[in-house]
Amino acid sequence: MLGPALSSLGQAKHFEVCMTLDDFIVLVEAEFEEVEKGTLKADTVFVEMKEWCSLYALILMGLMSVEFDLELTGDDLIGIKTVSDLYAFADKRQGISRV
Amino acid sequence: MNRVEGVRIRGITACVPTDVRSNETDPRILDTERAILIRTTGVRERRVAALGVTTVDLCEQAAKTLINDLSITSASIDLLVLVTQSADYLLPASAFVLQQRLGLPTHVLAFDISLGCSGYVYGLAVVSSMMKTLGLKRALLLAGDISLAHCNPKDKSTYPLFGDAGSATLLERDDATAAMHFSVLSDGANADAIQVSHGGMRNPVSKESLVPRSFGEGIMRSPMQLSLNGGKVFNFASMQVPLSLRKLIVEAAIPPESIDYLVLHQANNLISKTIEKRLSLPRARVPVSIDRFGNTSSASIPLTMASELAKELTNGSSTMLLSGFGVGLSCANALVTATAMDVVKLIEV
Repeated sequence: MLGPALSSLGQAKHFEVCMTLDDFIVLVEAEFEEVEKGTLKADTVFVEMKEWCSLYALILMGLMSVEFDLELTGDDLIGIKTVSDLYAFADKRQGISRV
Repeated sequence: MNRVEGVRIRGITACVPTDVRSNETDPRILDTERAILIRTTGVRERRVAALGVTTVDLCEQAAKTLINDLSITSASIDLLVLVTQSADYLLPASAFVLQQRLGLPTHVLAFDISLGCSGYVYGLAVVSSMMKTLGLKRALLLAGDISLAHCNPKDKSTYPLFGDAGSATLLERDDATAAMHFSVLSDGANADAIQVSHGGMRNPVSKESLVPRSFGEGIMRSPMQLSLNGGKVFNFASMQVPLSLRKLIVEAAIPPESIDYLVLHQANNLISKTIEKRLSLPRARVPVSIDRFGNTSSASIPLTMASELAKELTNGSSTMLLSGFGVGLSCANALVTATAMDVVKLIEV
């Protein structure tokens, strides 16, 4: 009676989908609405962005939760300096770069 | 998971102060952070109680309006529960202050519940199950907070987020009403994520309690004021809450497509969007009130119903998934199928 819809309730949508670093950058940039499009690079250091404030950390936590079913903690973020580091974090836990 | 049969929500009122504070013009917010603060928190403006106005005052007005509009007598109320973390006194419980002010009978069962953002749904669970167990006919659930009393105006991590509000919900025994379903989460390991650390028995008030310290740019507070670890709260809400909601839907055997409204505690816009995306209910509307009232603690769910769903809830039957989460850390969820309520109203005082 409940149907297949229940099987996906509360689950992340895409964490079984492969994603290149370039696709990942586009995904992150889409969440950073105040940041000029095309300026985010793999080696961009988050805290050195002129727009950066602690609220961007929450945006990244939301992104990891929704897209990859991942909990990103404040302690994790201490070691994640760049977009590339964040991609590596998601890849290590969910294997998002696998082909 | 708990199931309570035969208890109906007959009416809801919410009460907010008339004083509006706008985050679009608040000079305490840095211009460089204003846009992202409003976008991520969702708080454009909020209501602030005048000095001396307490949660009891707001809840009293909400309750008097509800009792009057439902044309019931105060003497017919058997149970009074106040959910708040800004009670009038350390003791007695403020429910007794309200028993007198509302003219409730002396045989009324009255007590406070110390909870914040999860408190309304917790209160629904406690009140409905007590009504069923004790055979009580009519109950008043009051929920609200003067949250800004706990916040330092120089703390940008708390002060721009919160608003003040009170609410009243009247529940009645009605055997024809569909069952309510409840679930809760309690995570004391993260008790320090939202905390006022001084003023209780563990850290009694001292000189140190009143001295503000800096915790980074724009974050000043004393140990008597609210500290909020946004990351811990966010992860609890975005990871644990959707899973507990899913479990509740499965255990209640309610088809997800039958849920009309997902009414979330108005913590911040980013949390609401994350829960909504993770849950992906096929057709549920997710009403928002945080843009106009801020995070109003335990009042946020009834306030959202009163401000955003008054017409819908008085016109017909609605299946609502309610979720409150926050201080504790705690979470309480309810699946409620509400038949046309007699009163759903927002008032300003």
